[in-house]
Amino acid sequence: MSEFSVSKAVAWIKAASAALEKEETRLSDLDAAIGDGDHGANMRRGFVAVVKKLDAAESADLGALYKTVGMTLLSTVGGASGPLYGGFFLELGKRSMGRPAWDAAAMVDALKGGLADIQKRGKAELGDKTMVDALSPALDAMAGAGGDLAAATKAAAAAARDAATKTAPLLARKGRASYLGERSIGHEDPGANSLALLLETLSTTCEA
Amino acid sequence: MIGIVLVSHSKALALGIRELVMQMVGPEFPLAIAAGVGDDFDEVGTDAVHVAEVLKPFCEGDGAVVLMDLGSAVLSAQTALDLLEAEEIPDWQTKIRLCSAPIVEAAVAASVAANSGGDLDAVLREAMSALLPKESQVGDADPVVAVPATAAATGDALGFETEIHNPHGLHARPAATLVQAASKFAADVQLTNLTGGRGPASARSLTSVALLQVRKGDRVRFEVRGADADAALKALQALADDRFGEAEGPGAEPVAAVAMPAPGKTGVPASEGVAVGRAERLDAAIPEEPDAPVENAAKERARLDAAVRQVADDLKETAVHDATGIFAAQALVLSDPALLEGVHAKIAAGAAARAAWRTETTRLAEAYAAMEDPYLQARAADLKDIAMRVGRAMSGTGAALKIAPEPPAILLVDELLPSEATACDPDKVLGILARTGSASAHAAIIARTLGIPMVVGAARLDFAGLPGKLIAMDGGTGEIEVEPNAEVAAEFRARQEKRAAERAAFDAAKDRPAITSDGAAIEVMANVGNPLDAKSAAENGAEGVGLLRTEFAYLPFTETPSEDDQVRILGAVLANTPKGPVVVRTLDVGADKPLAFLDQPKEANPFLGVRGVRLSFRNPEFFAASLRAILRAGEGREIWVMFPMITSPEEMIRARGFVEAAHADLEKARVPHVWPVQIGMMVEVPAAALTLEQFVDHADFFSIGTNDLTQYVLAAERGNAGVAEMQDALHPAVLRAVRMICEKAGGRHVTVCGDAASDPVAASALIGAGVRSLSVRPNQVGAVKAKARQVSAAALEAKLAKLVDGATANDVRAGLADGG
Repeated sequence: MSEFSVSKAVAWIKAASAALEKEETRLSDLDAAIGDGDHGANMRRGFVAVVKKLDAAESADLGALYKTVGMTLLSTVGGASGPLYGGFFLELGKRSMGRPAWDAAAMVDALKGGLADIQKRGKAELGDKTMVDALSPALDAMAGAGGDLAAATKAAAAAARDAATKTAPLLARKGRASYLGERSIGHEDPGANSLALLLETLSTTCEA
Repeated sequence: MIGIVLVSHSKALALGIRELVMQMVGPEFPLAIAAGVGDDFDEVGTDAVHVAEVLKPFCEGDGAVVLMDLGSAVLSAQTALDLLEAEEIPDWQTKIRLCSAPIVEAAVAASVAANSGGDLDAVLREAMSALLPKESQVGDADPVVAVPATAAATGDALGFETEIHNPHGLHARPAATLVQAASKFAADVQLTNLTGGRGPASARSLTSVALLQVRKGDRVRFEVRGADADAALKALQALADDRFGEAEGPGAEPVAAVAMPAPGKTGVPASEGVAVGRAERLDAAIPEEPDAPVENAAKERARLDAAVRQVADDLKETAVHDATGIFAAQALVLSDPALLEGVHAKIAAGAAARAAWRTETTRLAEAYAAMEDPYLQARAADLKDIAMRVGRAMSGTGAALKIAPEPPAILLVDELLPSEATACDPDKVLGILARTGSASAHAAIIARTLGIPMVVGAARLDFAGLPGKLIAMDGGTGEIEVEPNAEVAAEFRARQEKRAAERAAFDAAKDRPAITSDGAAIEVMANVGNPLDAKSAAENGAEGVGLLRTEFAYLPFTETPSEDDQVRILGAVLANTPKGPVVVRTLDVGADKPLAFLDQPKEANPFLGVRGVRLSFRNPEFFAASLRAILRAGEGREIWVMFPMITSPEEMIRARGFVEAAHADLEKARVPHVWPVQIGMMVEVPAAALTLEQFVDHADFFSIGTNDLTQYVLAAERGNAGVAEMQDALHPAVLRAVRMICEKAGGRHVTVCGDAASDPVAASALIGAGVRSLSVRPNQVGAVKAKARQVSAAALEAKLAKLVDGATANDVRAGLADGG
């Protein structure tokens, strides 16, 4: 596959919503261990609202679509993932303004912009035990996987999942988990996990 | 009115805070809530879009301070600002401020400030200090604990305990010396005040050290960790043994920071001169600078960094040579991690650089002002001064300030800051009345240089009622008359006119040489220690610079200044000097005034130790570089190079060799520089005076330093109050030495550059001893010239020949007064 159209994007968001709903308990449990235990519920609430919005009105291009996703997440997620995921999708929207579809290069460019926004907003570096730890290696894998979207997103998804698992031994330096200090060690980061879910559904959407 | 926006995870929490606020300021107060998430905002969380909507009306109104609880509340508020920007909402940058203060306390404090009409900055400031009352009530916020800890080095600590003997504990100067020493090492140095129970705190932070409030008799512990801990420990121990560079004895007693007027006088005289005019508040004469809008944290940080750098550079260049080292201490404040980290944190949280800087420096200045030690209290003025300079530098209009009231006025001020004094236009500022401050404070020294009459310590006056009123003041006596009657005003005006006439006579004659009544030409040059002096020397008609003290080019530095730095700083002073020769004296310090970057071991008697040229010989690389810098900076001028503390002819030969080598180096590298130069020496060591004929072949000129010559001849230490009365250059023994030097100089040029030359009476005694060249304080050039024109050199010589047989300085004075 070489083009990721608006309808593919809608399919991705819906698949993500379904996956987040299915994984809600696991995400909230991860969060309960090192945070306030609401990550799963927050993400589900946000994506349910997004799907409702997308069903209500068609988007003219990828830019408009991601802007809708971003704004909706900002106002519905509630926790820190609201501004972080919201800002991420707004940035995807900015970089896709007027585009009916992504090719692999446009996808990597947009996602990299999204990563930069997350880092700017959350002031997180690699190794701080955050979603950055999953997204950053995933984008490296994607950029190195060539022009086929299915292959590229598959590589990204695998890298993100692997990296999310590897957040367990890290010491949390950002967010509520950082209050726990050393006790945050031994638990996977919930944000890195939800991020991996997003990329896994992106990959399955591209394969379909 | 400035509003408040509460951004919270919980609607219930926000409503509760609103209830508290309403109790204080009533239900009409503009407080808005963006809290919770979901359809009715009943779920826990924050909604950035909602926050932006709540903020919009405040952008059209007077603005708002945004208080947030934690985590996503902060992220959502920041994201809301991005949304305002993306929607191009006008004025959001100037109207909305995020505030990191604790939400409950800050909401109450800020609402009260806003309700009483405070502007955005004032409200923000109140919010930022909202936690202080609780901290002081609970008593768990030792200021030292609040100082951000520097990353602790690992490894075992080395350490020692000692008792502090400095008369005023570790106040500004010893503290600065300690900080400079500690900063030279990689090792982490922590200091604890065991007696006061404060600390540990980093010995690299001037603020942290000051906040430990170490007083005389307190026991302290030093702990050193890290790679060069051994060396650091040794250096600190030596420093502690040396009382942190502060001389022993009553001579070290500084003047009280706040002076009290003498009985019957309204104030304390600080700068001579009489003024009659309308009073105006000084801050009314300073133009207001609007705050620049916040763009983003990175830009704000860059704005701060640039301003701090600029002011640090300015300070290094204008640092005035004085015993207090105030400007050097001010420069240190600017690199103080404890201060800067606080400001950085606020900027990172979205504050404007100027506001963050203001908040932190105000807080610190208040901490200093609240201390019991008057010397630490006085540091509050330095901090305020630094704060103002940096604030102005950040406003984008540069740090240059001009205080020029129109119409000209007498300015009222709580305490005059050094940079404000420098900014005063002597044509527009008739006089200065300060509620506090002292005659020895830096601002007063500058006022004297500028010739602006000043009275300090006038706290008895009701300053609030003064603006607009007519005031008559005499800076020479400390008298102040408010709304004087016609008779009194006329009397002050008469004094003023007499002074002005005297001044005008000096001015009219300033460019004419001073010729005595019997035709002897007396050369009158000026002593210069900084750019202000240089300017003043030129304006007062000095025929050259008889003594350029170079310490100002070294004192502000904690690291060895580069040769280029020295060239730049010396060049800035030389550009302002009057025409004529400039006698540049090489570094003249001893162990009593250690430089941070030279190795100066502790000495029991620093005035008899490694000082002046002796210190230069021990640091040959530094010496060579400083001589190259003098030659380079002096290009195009007539330069005389002079060495202090020369004792034997060998030293003079060796020092001359250094100058010639510097010339050869520069020649080889094809670097432009002045050549040839005169090479000479100070005569201040009695051995040199007694054997002067042995120096004639090696020195091109001699300059008598009467201050040091007096202390060595009379064995009476300078600055030691116990022997202050013996320190008189008119002592027959000193005048005999001067006569002998003039006789044995073998035709070489002889100048007197000590303080005695600045006093017209003493100057006439020196003329009587055979001196024909005097180098004096810049503002005394006119008076000394006038005196020289009145006297007969031959008559004075005849008189002196008898007077040196007298027993005391008072005999000499009486003899001089007798028949003029």
